[in-house]
Amino acid sequence: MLATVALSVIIQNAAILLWDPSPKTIKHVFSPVPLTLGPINVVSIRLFAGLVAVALIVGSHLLIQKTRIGRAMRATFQDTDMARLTGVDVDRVYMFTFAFGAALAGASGALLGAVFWVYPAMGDLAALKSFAVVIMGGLGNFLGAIVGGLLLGVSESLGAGYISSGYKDAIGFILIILLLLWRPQGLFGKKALPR
Amino acid sequence: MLTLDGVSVAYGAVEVLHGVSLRVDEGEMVCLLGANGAGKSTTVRTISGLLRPSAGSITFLGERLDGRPAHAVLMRGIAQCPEGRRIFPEMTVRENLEMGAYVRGGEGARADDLERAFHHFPRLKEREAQLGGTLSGGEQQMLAIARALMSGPKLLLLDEPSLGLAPTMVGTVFRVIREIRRQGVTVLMVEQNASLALQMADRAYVMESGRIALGGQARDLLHNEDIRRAYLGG
Amino acid sequence: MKLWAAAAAVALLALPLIGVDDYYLHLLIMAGIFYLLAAGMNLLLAAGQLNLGHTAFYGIGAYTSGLLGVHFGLSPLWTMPVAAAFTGFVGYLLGRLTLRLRGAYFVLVTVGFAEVIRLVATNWMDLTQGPMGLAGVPAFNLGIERWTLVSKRDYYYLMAALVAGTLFVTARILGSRVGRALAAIQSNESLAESSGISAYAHTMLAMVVSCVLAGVAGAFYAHYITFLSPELFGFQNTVTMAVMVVAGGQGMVLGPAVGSLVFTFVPELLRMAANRMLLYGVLLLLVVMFMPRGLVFYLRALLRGRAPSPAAVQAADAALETGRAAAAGAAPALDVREMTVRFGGLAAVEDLSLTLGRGEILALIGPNGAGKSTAFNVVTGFQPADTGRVDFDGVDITGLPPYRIAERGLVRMFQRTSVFPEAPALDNVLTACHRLARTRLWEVVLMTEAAREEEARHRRRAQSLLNFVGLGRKAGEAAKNLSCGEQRLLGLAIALAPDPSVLLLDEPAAGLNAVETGQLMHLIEVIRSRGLSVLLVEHDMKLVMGLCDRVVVLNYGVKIAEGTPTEIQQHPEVIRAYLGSGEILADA
Repeated sequence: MLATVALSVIIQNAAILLWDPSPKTIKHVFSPVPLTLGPINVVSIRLFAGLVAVALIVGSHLLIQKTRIGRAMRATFQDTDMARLTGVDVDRVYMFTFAFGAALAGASGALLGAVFWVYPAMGDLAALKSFAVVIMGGLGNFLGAIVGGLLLGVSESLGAGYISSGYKDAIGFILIILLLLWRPQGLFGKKALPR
Repeated sequence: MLTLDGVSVAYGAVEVLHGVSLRVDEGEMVCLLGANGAGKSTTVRTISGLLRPSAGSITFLGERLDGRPAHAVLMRGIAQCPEGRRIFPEMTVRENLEMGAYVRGGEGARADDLERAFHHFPRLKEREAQLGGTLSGGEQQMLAIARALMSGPKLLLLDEPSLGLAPTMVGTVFRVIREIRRQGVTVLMVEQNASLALQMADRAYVMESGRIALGGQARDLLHNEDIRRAYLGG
Repeated sequence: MKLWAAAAAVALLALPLIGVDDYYLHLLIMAGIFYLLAAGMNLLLAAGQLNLGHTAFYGIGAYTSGLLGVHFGLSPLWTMPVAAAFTGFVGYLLGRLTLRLRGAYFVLVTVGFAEVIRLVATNWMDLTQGPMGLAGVPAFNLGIERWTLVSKRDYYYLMAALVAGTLFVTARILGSRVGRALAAIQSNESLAESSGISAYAHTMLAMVVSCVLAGVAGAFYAHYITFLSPELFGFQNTVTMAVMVVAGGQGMVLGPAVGSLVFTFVPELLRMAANRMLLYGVLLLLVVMFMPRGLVFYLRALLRGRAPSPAAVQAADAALETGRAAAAGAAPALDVREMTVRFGGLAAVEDLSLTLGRGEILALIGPNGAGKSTAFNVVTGFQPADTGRVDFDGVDITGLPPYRIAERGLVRMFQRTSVFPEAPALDNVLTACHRLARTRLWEVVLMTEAAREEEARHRRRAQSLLNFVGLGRKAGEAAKNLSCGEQRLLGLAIALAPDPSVLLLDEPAAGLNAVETGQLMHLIEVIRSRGLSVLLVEHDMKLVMGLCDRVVVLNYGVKIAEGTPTEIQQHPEVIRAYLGSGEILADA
């Protein structure tokens, strides 16, 4: 775990060195004029980002549930030794999973950057929120992560509107603390039995 | 077909297997008996590549296997059905079988492989879309054996197939094992139920404290006083 | 190693006197602040929990002391202890919430916690002035104008005092039974719990102490720099601390000290002060990959060569002075009534009742999967039962946590994981003496006469237990290097250490040869003759038949027979269950 923290620090600071830390924008083809869909006004780029996100989620789900490599990933998670015994090269699976996760993060970075700004530290807040989502959904639970992500997004927006926008980012963690008080193993997580 | 020669295995500095030598010939069924902690499971895990021997050699069909990783051993034709069944609980029956065929490559298991599995184990066909974790103990054992067979192995390693099963289920499972043998699959089985195992096997070894203590024809051992004494101390 | 450390300390203390530049004094003071932070993080890491939100406590300490000084004009003499105590309290609250989480979850929540605190500090402008920062924090003074600390040198010596104090406290904690308990929790939590060590209580202690240290560091910073900004809560500080702890040497007293010194100066020496985060990232990655035990560990190995074995400890005469005599009580040692445990629809144990009399040796036998381990788990508190009740010495212990059951005198020896692998054999047994300790924590830290005497007494007891099982000469050997049989004997010594009245042995003879089994049988006989009652699970029939008074047979979770060994041997159902019947194949 510490190694990946170190990696992220290195990459961030290298980015600061290579490009300056000031925020930049991504040029895109969508017009900044909002579309009107019934009572909702939405800027095209956000709609696009949302649609792409949904497509990526569906695509990832299909990959994990329907393909051979997806089965290998699930088998490795459920019972690593048994996966080895069915011929899965567990090291390769770990590498692929890490790369896949990194690719998803990269895609989401591109989307976030198009909607907001691009700057070296942009990953910090996003990473923290994704931690919150994982804790709420339970480690290893894909469906839980989707539910958690939606829950977090909606609560943040509602909270920012009704309470205060400065604390918007803290809402995620207030949610987690409340959740952990109620269920120490997360929304969908499983309780570990002592051996 | 399979030969172990002076195999020793250590966990860190502690040696748990000391110079184990045994052999399994093609078409045979050989049993590995012994008390808990005697080293039976360790032996099987070493054959299948989960453990690496510190000394000795393992030869299968003329090729050295010791030290190769588990997926390489599987590719050579040895499949293991481990102790406690270990089916993937969050995957369906069909997906478990597909995992068994993982080494064959391709996106899904070949249709004829799956058909053959369901033919031998009709109960599994009924539960095709059910999650593995919801099956009963006996059904899980069937699934585990079917899964191991999906890779088309030449040698099947069975680790305590009767563990935790009700007596009637044990009967069913052993009937299945006998059927598999009839199809020409060679079997090395670790079993607690000594009497049953010896009735089905050709030869057997008895292990004690990480060594082979006895070996011989199954029917000779069946009536052997040493076995009775070892299991009941009387 | 101690000599080097002492020499370094003297040199450091002398620095201001020989006219070293103020800039370097400042660096050393910052190194000192980070030492306090790293030492706290290190303490919690000794229990196996990584707190990547530690910087939050740093900031809380700083702002608390700073705000009290700015708004109420109180002297730092008062505000620093208040801030430290308050920070410790916040740590306690967070611990209540999160210490039941393990591993990755704990790390994630602590990171989130730091971020929340940062957001609060940035947005609550009324309290903290937000991103513009809080200025005008009073410098150190003792209430009298003349005694305000002004020069760098003054601050330097104050920091030196704090560092010395922290070194002392952490050395005492880590070197005492508390440190052993923390290491035990990290190494083998089940074994620690069943030796009477409460994982939660000890981890909480480490958490609170580490937060108090962070509070002190923060308060010092406030009155030294006299300006505070929410950047204190930033992840940068956390990475810095993590590098110091991990690269310095986790779990070691001097680790954070070496780490904080080295990593404050390395960026300076490499002239990379402006890009220090990049450097830290690279260093952290390199250390985690290549030198995971940290600098101090490798330095010590270099300086000392092979670690010398601890001097042979003089053993106590009575090997098993059991404080509890085999009292003539009416209640049986252990009484299990109608225990049922279900997993899903399957009953692992069904309506089991058994009684262990005082001074009896009872065996629980049955084929694999018969439910014996499950029954043991329930009796020792590791697993709940669906119905049923367990009475120990006439008192209901159903549902109590393992360490409480061990405290009362019911101790279990585990089947496979029965030792703390990294520690020497003597320490293994010494750790398990934990519940016999009567001295309080403050006595341990201050090394009072009573504490020292108790430690020596426990050492003697540990050595005599090792002698009793025949491992006397191997006291200094790491447990993982012992043979299978020796580890089993060590496990027995560990189980005897908390002075139990009932011993539960889980397959003690597994993997032992005939000679070793014989030794084991003899030991159990002696143990019984000293007044203990023994319940054991075994497959080795020689041991069962030769040693036990009575036998209970389980099959498929149900008791099928009970009686003397001879009766059991001839019981047809037992023979059928164990050897299996061949009837099933009669057809076809």
